[in-house]
Amino acid sequence: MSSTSRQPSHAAKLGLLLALAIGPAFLLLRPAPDTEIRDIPWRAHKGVLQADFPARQTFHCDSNGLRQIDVALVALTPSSDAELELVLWDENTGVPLRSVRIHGGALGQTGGGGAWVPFDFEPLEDSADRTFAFTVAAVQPGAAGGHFSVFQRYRGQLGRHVLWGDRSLPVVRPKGQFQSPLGNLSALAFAFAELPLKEGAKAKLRLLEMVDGELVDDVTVQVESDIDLPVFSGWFFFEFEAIPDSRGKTYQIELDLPEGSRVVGDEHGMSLMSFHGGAEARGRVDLVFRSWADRDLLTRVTRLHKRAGTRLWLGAAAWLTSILLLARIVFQTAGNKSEA
Amino acid sequence: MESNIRRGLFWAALLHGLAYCLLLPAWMGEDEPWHVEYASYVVDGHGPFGVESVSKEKWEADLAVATYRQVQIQRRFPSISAEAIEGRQAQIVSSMARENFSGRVDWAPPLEGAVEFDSLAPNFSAIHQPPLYYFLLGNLGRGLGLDTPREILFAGRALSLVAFVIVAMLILGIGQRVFPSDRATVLAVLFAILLPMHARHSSVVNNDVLAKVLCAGVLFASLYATGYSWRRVGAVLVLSALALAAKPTAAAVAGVAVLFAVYSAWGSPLASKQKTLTRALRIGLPLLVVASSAALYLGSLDHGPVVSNTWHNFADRLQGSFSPKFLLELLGTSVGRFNWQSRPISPALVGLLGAGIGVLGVVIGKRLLGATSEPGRGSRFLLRVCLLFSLAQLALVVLRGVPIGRYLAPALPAIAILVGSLAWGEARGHSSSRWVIGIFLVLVAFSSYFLWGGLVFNQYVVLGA
Repeated sequence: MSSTSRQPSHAAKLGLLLALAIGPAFLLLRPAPDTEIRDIPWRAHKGVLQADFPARQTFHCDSNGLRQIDVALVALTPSSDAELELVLWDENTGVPLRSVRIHGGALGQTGGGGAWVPFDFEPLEDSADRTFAFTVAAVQPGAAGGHFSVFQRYRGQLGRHVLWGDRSLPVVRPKGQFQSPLGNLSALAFAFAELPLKEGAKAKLRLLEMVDGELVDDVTVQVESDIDLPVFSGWFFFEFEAIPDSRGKTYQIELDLPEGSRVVGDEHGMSLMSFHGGAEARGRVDLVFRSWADRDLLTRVTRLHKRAGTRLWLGAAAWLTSILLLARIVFQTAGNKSEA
Repeated sequence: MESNIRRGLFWAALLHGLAYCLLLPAWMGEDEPWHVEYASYVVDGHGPFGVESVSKEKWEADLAVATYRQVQIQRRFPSISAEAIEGRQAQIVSSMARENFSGRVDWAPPLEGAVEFDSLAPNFSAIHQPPLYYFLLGNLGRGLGLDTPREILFAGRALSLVAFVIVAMLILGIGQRVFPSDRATVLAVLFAILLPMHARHSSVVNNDVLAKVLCAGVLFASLYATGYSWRRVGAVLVLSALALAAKPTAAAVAGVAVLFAVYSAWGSPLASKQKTLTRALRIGLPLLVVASSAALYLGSLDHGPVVSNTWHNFADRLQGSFSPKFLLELLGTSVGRFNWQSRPISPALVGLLGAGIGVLGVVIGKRLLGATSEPGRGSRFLLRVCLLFSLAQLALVVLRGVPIGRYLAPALPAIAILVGSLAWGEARGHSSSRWVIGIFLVLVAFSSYFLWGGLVFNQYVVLGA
């Protein structure tokens, strides 16, 4: 076969350069959140946000120029004129740093499964390596403001999920049964139509193991949880030390709730989620959110190098060499006159 | 083809696969923990070929005290204790936690302190898979004296890199047999090297990788030479059986074996000189072997890739498979997903690539099925085998009702040959040269976006808290 060949055209060379540059351009220039609490799918919302009871979350910021916080929100009831306020605080000093309100159209996409709602504000130039908190609340007090709920994430493996039921159960000491599908049961979340905040009152959970339908004498779990916010149409978590051998075991659930509480359920019992696994037992509930800060090119490259190490550069060299080898072959065979 | 081109393609395949091996963090190939766990028991000296049958009562009693996965493992490896299984899973989960697995996979809970796989994803296992891949990887690990799951993981990845290069070289061989043109062959090989989700397989521990090599081997044995010989028939049948022993999704390769037998005994120019009885025998015997093996094989599977337990299930699968949601998911997982499929590439790009694949499919189909004098009769038949293989593989995925792109992997060699045909046939000269350069540039652009803007971006830039 003849090896006579034409040189590749300038257009082909330029095309190759552009094609090679696409990926690195995306890698270095595409915005990426500074912090992100991810969860797939979003499933446990906290309940209606009210003016007097903001939902709160702390976070650490790595970079300067903190400029936006996106919160995962869902509209529980339709509203065109509702308004929400996010306040950014310095976690150490308790000083409010930024405040931003959004309303109307920005909240319009939060029906159904919910959506990210961006709260953007004037950038904080010195935000790197600082701990912040933000709060989200309705602006209008009472029923007029209460339309939206924020999603929360529990860091554990979901076991049983009894979906949000069609009725509320107006009893302060509801009971039910639950069979744990997995080991290391570490939290139970219940759906509440209402869990009021009352002076000194706590939500209490007792789990008692059952064998062949009979209660075992010992109480497996007894936990009292502070109610930091009143819950209206939301999930409330009870966390406890993981039970390693919970797989397949049946428990009687006993709740002891403040007066006026209403648990959600259906004809079979209470709506609930069980979570399993891990060694840490407490403090694993976070709001689902992400924060954005400005990052320059150098910061991005430095972070990439720190996380990927030398293999990043070796991988780049291998990839580029392979493409250039292929380009040489393609241009050689495509320009081969013997095939024309 | 000049030897420097062949050498260049070899090195390009090796370096391209190596890039993925370097850039994909440990345990970030989907399902790697279960595959490594399976192979690790073979490294320990257990044979993967026995499956103990148990009664329904015993099965349910075991499940009350052990995980579904542990029960399955003890069925395949009856001599392994529950403590040993838990110890191995704890080792793997701990290694995953050190690699910040839950920061990268958005649905994954934290793994610090976890002791078994249910803390990651309940009721998933690779232990029901056919044993060939684990036999190979396990004995490789045993021969190398590997000890930890992490070492087995990297041995598996090295095996995948070798497999990636072998597939490229087999496609090169097939292309040289099918196409008289270097351009078409080069196009087929560079497609197989640059296609991102296939290239990523060069760094993933998964039995799909072995199935793909063996399917490429079947195509190679079927297409590389002309004429009929019992040795070739034997090679095709043995490779087909091995492909099925690697992964049930390779089932379509049995069709290639049948087509090969029919063509070489009846349709080829050489065959017309044979007596009718001889020709019938040459078709009938392989058909009998394939049909009886397929029946035995499908009957032995716990989870058949095609056959449902009931008509109702079968109808359900079909109904689901023809929904737009299924087809979009299949397309999405075929062209690009990252971090255990938890992060997709943009829907607009998926749509664009889907449209491009559709156009290429129509052009290839029209060229192969339409009235044309080129390519020649023999090569056109071989290309039609590739087309049928690809369509059969797609049909298997649809019938199975699970929209995962890598289930199409066994047909990758056939698809690459079909893409190569774009540079040959009616399109000659400048026209075919433009096909090669155009497709090359598109593939480089997509590979660049996939690797740097997708894989590296999602693995190292965006980490969940």
